[in-house]
Amino acid sequence: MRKINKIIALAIIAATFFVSCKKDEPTEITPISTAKNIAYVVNYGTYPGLNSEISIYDIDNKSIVHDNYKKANDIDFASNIQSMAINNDIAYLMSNDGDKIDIINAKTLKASINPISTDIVKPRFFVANGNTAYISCWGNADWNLMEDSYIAKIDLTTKSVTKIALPGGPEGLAIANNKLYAALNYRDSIAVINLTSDAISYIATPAVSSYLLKDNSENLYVSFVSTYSDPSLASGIGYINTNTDVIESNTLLDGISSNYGSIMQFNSDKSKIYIIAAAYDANWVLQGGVHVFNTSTKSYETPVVENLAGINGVAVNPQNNNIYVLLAPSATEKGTMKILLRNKKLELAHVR
Amino acid sequence: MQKKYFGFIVAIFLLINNLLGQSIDSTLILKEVEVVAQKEKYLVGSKIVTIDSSKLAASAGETLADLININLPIYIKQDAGGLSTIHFRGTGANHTAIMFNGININSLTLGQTNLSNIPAFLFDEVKVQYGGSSSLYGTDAIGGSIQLNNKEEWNKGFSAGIQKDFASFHSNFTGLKIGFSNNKFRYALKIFQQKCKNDFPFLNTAVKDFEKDEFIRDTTKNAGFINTGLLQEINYKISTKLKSYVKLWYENADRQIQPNMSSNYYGGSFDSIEYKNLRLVSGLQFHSGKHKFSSDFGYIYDYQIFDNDSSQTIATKSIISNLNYFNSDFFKGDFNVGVNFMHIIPEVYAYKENLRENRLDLFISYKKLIIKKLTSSINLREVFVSNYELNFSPSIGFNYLLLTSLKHFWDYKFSVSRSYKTPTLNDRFWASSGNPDLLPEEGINYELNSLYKLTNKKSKIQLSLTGFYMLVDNWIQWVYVDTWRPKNIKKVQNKGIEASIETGFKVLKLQFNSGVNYSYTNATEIKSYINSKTDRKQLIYTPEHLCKAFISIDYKRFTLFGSASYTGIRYTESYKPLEEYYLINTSIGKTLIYKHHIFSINFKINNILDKAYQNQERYAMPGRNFAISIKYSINNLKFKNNEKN
Repeated sequence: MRKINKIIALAIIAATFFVSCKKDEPTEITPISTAKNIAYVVNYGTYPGLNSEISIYDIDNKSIVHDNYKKANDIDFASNIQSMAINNDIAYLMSNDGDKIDIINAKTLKASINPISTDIVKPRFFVANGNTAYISCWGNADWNLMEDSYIAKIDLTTKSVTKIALPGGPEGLAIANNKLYAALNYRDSIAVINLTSDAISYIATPAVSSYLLKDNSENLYVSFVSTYSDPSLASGIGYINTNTDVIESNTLLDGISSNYGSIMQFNSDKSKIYIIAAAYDANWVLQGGVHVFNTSTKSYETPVVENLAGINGVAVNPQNNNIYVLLAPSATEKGTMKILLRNKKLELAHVR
Repeated sequence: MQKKYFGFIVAIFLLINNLLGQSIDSTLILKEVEVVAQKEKYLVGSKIVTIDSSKLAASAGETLADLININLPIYIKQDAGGLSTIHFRGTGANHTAIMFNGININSLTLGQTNLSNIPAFLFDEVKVQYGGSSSLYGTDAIGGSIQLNNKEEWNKGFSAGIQKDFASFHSNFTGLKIGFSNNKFRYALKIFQQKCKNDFPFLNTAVKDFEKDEFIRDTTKNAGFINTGLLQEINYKISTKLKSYVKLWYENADRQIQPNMSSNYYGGSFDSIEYKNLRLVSGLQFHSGKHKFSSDFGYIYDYQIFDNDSSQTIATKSIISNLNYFNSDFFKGDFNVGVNFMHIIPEVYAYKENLRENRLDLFISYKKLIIKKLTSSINLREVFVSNYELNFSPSIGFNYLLLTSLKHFWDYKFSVSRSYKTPTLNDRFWASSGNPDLLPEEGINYELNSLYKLTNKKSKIQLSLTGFYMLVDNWIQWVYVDTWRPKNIKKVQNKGIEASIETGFKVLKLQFNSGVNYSYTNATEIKSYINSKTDRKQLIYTPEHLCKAFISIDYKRFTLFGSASYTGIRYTESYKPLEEYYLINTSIGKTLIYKHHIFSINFKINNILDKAYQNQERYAMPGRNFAISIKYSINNLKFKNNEKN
């Protein structure tokens, strides 16, 4: 019986557009009913509402099956999956156009209850604290000040939604030290929300932020990014002491990915963070690599791989620390997934 | 090199004609100068289909998109009420020139026209010209062009008319026409308003109730619209040789943007867009013997606002002037030379301030009967755009009259034309994304057509067959890199055939008219400028097969009409096949005429079979729906010095 903890929980999110589906790959097998170790690859698809799906990669057999949501539910997903989170064997899919949170079985991807859509407008990211989930939502986005954004607080039993107003476009979330931290993607600050009172305080930041990772000390690493609307020279990995809510350091790294998805991840013992840094060349092709941040020394090591065209997402297999890289060479070509093995050989896993 | 080559052809052309010393084709001599209509005659070899006043009157409460959907095998990409764009022969939405009184009304920022914003009520005639015609109409006419015409009728006295339509989904149309003409003065005014809530029911196959394991029964939200406008024309004959005119066309359309099926149920981006368009044209026409001169001056104002956000206004003002000289006996041929000038003032929030653009077109056209039964024309156009590249677009066409008699007509046409599209203002100047170095889109079109007609006292039949081949290069598309950017992404090959048959006959007192129009289009990318390879698949949203058919039966001013359309499989952005569909419509109507008074009532059922279909993936379209149209008009009423008829 496959255990959920052997699945790479954060599905690698590909924030790619115009990724076409090719069903006639020679290595594809269907169905994956006996796979013990799998990775979910979530495709955002084409906005609005087209081609978003979930692929399942069988790690042991090195094979992939596409369109698993449709196979499980006999219907296209019909929205754009922004992120996927797994909590207590249930997968939550945050999607836009239509705006909703799908609740599906994390093993079978089958939906047996209807999505939550009331008071959910442009959901982004999910974290849970016991029976309460917190989802960052952008609301009626103006793509400037993001005054309408909020945190949706959901009782996972009753599915009722309470809105905590939080302007500034919250993106990544983390719960640490009994507080909810929200990386604001349109303001130079991180919001800190008291889990009991829902009161909000802020930590000023050198740049807008996107995602948070919690270490074993309940402190947080945060990605500071330069975006189209908020350019900055202070992109890097910051470290927040959640006892004092002070940013103790920001280790600069030019070109940290401002994509929405899996841009950084811990290895199995959290001694390293793998993070994407890239820049557009003269032909508007995103060229970059996977950089390595040593959490002990708070410094960068030699990148594990560079000069990858269209680098879009990264994830780490906690069992063997293989690094999974998602590539989208252009807006219209098919994407690929490559695996950097422990011997540092980059192996093509699959083309979608 | 191209200009020298075509200059050589022109020289040889003229030399041959002089040597042969052919007489003037009598059809080249015209009594009245109507500049726009005259232009079309230089497209010898091109396929032009006319949607006449009777078909327009039958669709008066509908739009140009509806008109083409019913009558012609040309793909209209559309949703349920907001945006409709035309795609001739697999070309793009901005590869068709929409012409009003010789002026291209395509948006200068987007490069296309929303056909849902053009009501059939305003026009007496629509001419649909297939294939490239930039040599005559300038930029955008790569796939084809559409002429929106109004006929000048003189000495008709007073006329007025009112039309009221009621239709499903809280839709109604109101139209008013007033006109007056004597021998010297003509005035025509048309005012309309079209409103629709568009709240139609549909089975939402994008949304499932997982607890009941069934699709949701849904109702369309945010797809309503209101469109109000007028067209006013004033014509005055200053003398027997000199005529003046003023035309004003204004519209204000407020359209909600239909959400996709998933957003419709769960919620998402519910937006709206408002358009205001003003087209003001005036001019003088002088003719004396074989010489004709015309000058036109125009002011075009296009305004668009998204979601009532005044900080994101998109507007352009254009000042236009045209000068034309025609000579109907120039080396025994019909000759036209002229110049168009346009000064563009954008007022777009995302452009740099004080941006201006000037465009100058120089053109020559010549048509001549070369030998008996063989007519040819050549058109040359050079376009200058400030701070941008030049464009040269020539065309040549031939028409051979194989057979002509009282009963029979049979001709063959052949044409070759180069066409172009200047990248839009958005393509070149949008903040941080625009690329002023984008190459113009370029096309070359070859087509061969044969038309046969047989007419006798009680029946007629018309058969037409066309083959075409086109190449469209430097196709511009906005693609997502770090943000959305326009790029020249591909070269496309379009080829296919178009066939039509129309018949009319009388049995007892019943007049039958019927027709079938079919097109096959193979449009594939043959070269990519952004990908390493191309797979030569059919372009997205380009059906290979389209077919339209109609039948009408008239008896004592009762009319029974039926139409059917078939749209073949299309491929979506993810190259998933979108199911083919067919639609059947019918209507029945009665017209009563008493002296000057005409009253008609028409009842229509659209999509009789209540077919669920999608023109675009995951955008619901209406099922069976109904409309009733009531019209009253009074015509040819003359008073005072004109005898009352």
